[in-house]
Amino acid sequence: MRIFICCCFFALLLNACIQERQTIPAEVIGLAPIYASDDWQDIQILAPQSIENLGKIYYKSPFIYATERGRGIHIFDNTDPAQPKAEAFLQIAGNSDLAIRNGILYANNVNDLIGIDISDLADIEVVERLANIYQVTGSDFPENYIGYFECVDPNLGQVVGWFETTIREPECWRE
Amino acid sequence: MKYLGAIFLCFAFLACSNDSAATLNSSSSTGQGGSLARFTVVGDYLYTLEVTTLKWFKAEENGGLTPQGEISLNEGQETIFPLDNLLFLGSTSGMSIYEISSTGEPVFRSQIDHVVGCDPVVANDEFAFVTLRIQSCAGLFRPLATEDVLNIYNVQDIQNPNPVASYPMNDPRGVGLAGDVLFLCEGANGLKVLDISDVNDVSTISQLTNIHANDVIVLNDKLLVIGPEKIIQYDYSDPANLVLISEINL
Repeated sequence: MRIFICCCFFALLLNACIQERQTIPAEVIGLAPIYASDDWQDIQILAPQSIENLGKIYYKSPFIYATERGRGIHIFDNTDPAQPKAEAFLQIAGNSDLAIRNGILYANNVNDLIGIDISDLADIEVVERLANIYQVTGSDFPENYIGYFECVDPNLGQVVGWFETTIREPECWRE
Repeated sequence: MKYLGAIFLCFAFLACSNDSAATLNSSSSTGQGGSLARFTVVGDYLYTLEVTTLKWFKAEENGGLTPQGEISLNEGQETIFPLDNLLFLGSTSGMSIYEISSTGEPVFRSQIDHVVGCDPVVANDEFAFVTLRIQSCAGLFRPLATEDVLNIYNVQDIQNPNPVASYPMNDPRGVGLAGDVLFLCEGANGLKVLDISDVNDVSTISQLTNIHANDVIVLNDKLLVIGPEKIIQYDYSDPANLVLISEINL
């Protein structure tokens, strides 16, 4: 199999994209880099945050959960659907998905799968962390991956991992 | 004495079958995801979908997870939809159906291929509804097909799903079922409310064009619609006239 990486940023500079690209999708599931910070495993409840780019939605009465791309989960109290209340923001780096069972919220945290006891939002506890369940390792491009990804910006630091998310008009891919 | 033995066996068998059913229909309290979900809980098990892998875990009483196994899949897996003990996986190349065994293991039942596109799936006992978003989706591996569509498959025989009908759509994304009504998100084009009582003659009941709809969750009495910037709730008791309940926009 021929593998090559084609970044259109460079392609523009060099005018040498190996293969003529088909239409760049406006939106597609791909990978985005996680940049080094020592606290990516730090799971915290924060005050409500502003919405920037919502991803998945999940409902477990009386709360609505909505993921914020790569950063965590907005939690809204929907006891009164006419006036839903922003309750908190659950910070989970590199998160895209969640599911809840018996008061435990399961989520991806970069390459780890974690379980968080959310039965008391004022006192959450990470009760499970399975390391490296998701095999997308850190480097300038995702290893063993074929598809679109968000180009690495070296100014943002070292890449420690990749997470799956919806990316818009991707400029990097591998096939 | 012989009869007693037979009765005992009978009870033993009943108890046994109840146990295996209990594994799937345990009293676990779980929530509800949208059709774009890649994590789902069925009974005591958590299923997570990556681009080429389906993994599953036993959720223990204390919240811990015990890895159970994984299945390698074709490229481009995108969504997972649970229906009773079935999992419907939507990928860029088709829809596949897995049946969850009493040990939580997903057992492959069938796959139906279609042209390449982005496709969440929802289903009821009779039909699966798959949206195929092509116009603004990847044409990475194979040539682009020509049209965005809603595909309907008969899934009464899960070993052998059959195409029933196909309808042109406009940038379709997440979908949600409420009886004979299908809510279909069309991104920046809004939300369509479709009458699916006759799958061979699906018609539009109403349409909202002033919202950005990526996915929906259908609750008993209301509809949650998520876009990139807000979450909107509607009362859908009259599908011809969705009534706005509230908007979350921080």
